[in-house]
Amino acid sequence: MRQPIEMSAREPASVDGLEQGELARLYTRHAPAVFARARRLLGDETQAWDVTHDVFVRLAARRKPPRAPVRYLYRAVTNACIDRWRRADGRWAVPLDEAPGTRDPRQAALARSVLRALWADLDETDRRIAVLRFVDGLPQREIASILGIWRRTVGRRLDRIIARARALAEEPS
Amino acid sequence: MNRSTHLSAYALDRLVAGTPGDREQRHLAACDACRARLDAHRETLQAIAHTPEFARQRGRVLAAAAAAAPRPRPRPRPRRRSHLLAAVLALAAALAVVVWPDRGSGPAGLTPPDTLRPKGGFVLSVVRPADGQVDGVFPAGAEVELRVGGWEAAALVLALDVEGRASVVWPAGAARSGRIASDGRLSPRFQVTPGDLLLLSLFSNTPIDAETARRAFEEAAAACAGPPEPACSAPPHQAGEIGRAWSRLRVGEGDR
Repeated sequence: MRQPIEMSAREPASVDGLEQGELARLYTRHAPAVFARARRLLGDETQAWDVTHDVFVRLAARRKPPRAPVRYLYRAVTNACIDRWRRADGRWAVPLDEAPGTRDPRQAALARSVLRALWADLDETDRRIAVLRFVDGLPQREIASILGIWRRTVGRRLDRIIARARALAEEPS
Repeated sequence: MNRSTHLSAYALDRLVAGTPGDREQRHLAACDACRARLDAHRETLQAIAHTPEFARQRGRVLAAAAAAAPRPRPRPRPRRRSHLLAAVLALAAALAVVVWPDRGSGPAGLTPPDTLRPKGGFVLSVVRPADGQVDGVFPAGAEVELRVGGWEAAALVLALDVEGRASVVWPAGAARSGRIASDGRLSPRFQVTPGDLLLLSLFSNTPIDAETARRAFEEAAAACAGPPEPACSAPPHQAGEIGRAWSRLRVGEGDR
């Protein structure tokens, strides 16, 4: 019979992907920021730790560490959070303005309301762009860098998202 | 305050990580507000890094990464076999393909399609999401989650209690096996009730009939003397089954 997985803070000797020491170094250096951002996006500590866990386990499977870890991790956390929202059918578990560590809770909550209304209309790339723009508040230049797409593409898609939001606001409820 | 002229959260994260661009460094040198924000951000991250949860999660990630790592493959042998042997093997393989349809009397679902293959060993775990405890002793009332690994298509999870009664645990109330989520979590979560359980997950590409599998599990357990054990409680191979994994849910005081 399969042995239960031992949960231990002791570092196992090696992994097939990244070297264990490399993974431990990346975790120590970047996990606090990954967790803080996931908490900001999800508004829930337990889910934020789950996302942090999943992101680093996936990172561990890579043969080499990412060349730009912060950029890689922004992308990974965005995708992981969108995946969670998708599974929750676009619902956010906890109101963002109750989440600890939120910089500008009212603005983030407003952005989230807009996103929630738009969610079904957005494709995967639009969702990523919308999260990075309206929840993280990043400029187009940084969004383009994180997602590895042209800045002009980001601008064009944002225009479309905003136009759709306006149209939605004008629609009779 | 209009933040658009100041450093973004992403820029602050890059500064903390020690990988800022020229633009960020120039801005930081000239902006008191952003220096103060950077200090505050650094303090927040340091506070997170000093929580017990951070250390626990770090151990969890390292253990999970080590557990997920496939075993090293043996080195390929140098090619010393003759072309004749290769030709014989090729002929045997061709014959096997030709002969296979004649064995059509068995259930069609027994043949795994070529499109999907196990990624490694099949795994079934009971996890308490509140603290990440895996396959331990859980107190009655604890909220736990079933997780599977090694297969991406469908699974059926059955439970056998100490009195030999089998039941379908996941998908709850369904007539057939259910599709596995990409992260291997079988939702919804469960609440632990008193009494140990032996858990069996059947993995498949095509749906497995839940009631047939449940009955087979119960019959196999009935023929088994003593408490339920995988060795003697294993039901016969089910139509559509690709592989199986076992786990136990032990109920006791546990780590509260």
